[in-house]
Amino acid sequence: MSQKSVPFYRRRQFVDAGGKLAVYALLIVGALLSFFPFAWMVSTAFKTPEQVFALPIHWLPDPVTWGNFAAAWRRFDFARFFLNTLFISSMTTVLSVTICSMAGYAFARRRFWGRELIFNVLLATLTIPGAVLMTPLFLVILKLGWINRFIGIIVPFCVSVTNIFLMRQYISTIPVELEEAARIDGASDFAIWRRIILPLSQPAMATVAIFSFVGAWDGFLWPLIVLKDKEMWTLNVALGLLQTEYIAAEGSPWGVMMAGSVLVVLPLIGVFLTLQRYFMSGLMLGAVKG
Amino acid sequence: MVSSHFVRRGALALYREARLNHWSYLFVLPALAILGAFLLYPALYAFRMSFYDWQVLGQSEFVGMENYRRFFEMPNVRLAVQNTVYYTALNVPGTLFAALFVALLLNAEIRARAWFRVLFYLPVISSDVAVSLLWKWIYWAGARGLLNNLIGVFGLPPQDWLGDPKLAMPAIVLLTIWKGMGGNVLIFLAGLQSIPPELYEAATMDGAGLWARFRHVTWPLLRPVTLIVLLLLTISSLQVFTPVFVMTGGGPANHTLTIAFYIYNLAFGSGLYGFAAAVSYLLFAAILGITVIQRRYFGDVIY
Repeated sequence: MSQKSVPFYRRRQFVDAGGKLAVYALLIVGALLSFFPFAWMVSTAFKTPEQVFALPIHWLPDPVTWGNFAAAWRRFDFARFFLNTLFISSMTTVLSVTICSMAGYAFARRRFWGRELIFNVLLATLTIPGAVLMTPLFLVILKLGWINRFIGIIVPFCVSVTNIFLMRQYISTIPVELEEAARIDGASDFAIWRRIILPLSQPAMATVAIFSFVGAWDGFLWPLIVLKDKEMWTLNVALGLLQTEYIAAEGSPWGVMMAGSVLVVLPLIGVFLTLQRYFMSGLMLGAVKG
Repeated sequence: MVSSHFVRRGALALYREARLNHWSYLFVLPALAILGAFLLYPALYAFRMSFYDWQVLGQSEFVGMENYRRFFEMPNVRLAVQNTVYYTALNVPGTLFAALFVALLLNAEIRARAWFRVLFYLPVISSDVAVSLLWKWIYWAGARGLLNNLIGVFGLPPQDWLGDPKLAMPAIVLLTIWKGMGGNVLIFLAGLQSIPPELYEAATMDGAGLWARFRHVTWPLLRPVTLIVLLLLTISSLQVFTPVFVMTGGGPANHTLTIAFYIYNLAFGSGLYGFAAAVSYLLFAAILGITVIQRRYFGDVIY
């Protein structure tokens, strides 16, 4: 951003032309290293079992087979795991955006007794490591009767202090005058949040939505602990637990397992590439102000 | 008349403000209820549990410091601590310097910066389980594994990456550096872009070369950002779980057994909830301690 504000004739090149070539070369090598494992994942997912273990290595599948995806989707029930994961992630996202936006609005704009204290306690909870929560939270969920139910995954993790903080930071930049004008027109507090704050904080909401969705979609340890029955599993739990079973039982069906991995990774990469601008600006917001 | 009008308005404003107060609590209530029930309460509950021989069903027995004493006697605890420290010592500097290096490259005036950022960020949004499985396949032992084929080009013999006690942990670290780098690149990049270009101009006029500019301008000005990256990386490294669960299951011969994996096994494998809670609290204390030390070491410097 700051570079844009500097006129071109004042910009100093950090490196000369030869150095620039080196920068590009290093970046391209780095980007390839970053991307290459994914290419291997996709390539393996489209191979027949014979090709998977062929020597010398087959870099590309020939012929291309959809068999692994069919097997993962139907025989290993990934269709169901996919829907479970989608449901959990969507519900988490809706709750997260609503609740964090309300709290962010209150902390940014409203005065109430104990506001600073409550906010500081929330910030302090950021130091609590997830590993500390694993055992006692399981017992809480057990008492509530939420074991083996989606609600046990969705509700405990739908609010994050980071997201409340992000909403608060963004909402404090919305001009107060808009809110005051609405209040003079007789808008209720809820209406102000609903009609002024929500529409104007869409970029921050998009960021919170993406964070929540990605977090829920990629979650593993908690669903692993809570979801006992196979028909309740998420994609990640299925991948994590079935892999040992499959390796033993089916002589390492890496084609099927990579097809399963593609099913987990690809939707998120799709969402990410579509909403990339929101995502990056949101990350920068968090990085600079957090 | 005028003064009473103002008094009335003042009273009205006070009344309105008092009314607003109550509505404010409604706005924060859902968030506070959930964080209280599923974050604060369990964290405190765990502290109490750590002094009990905790049973899920039946009577729990108060055992005082027994769980903490046991921590120092259990044979695997030592290993788990050592392995976690080893992992953290490799992963934190590895990821930090890789991310800083890439961020410096991206901060040069290049085209297609956005595309590079996206490419480096792909591993970050990918699920831990899926990429751990993918790297387990890349590390496949014997001549048919991808990595063994690649090193074979240089005439190196195939390795049993995840089965060799010496190689297993570094292999996991390589995966987590690959996976974790992109997010930290963005943090560093944000920090780099907030350094005023004038400083580099002045340094260049004073005859500073590439290294001198990095050493005397970039590195000191980036210090707060480096501290954030260092803290976040350390906290997450001390809790590493999923790659271990998927790739090695703690093996070979407990050489990749980490504390988080150990806690998981204690609670959900052996049903030792109280002991697991005690180990979690010691981890919590360690994380807090390291955070304070890093903050003090990095934070007190004034430049």
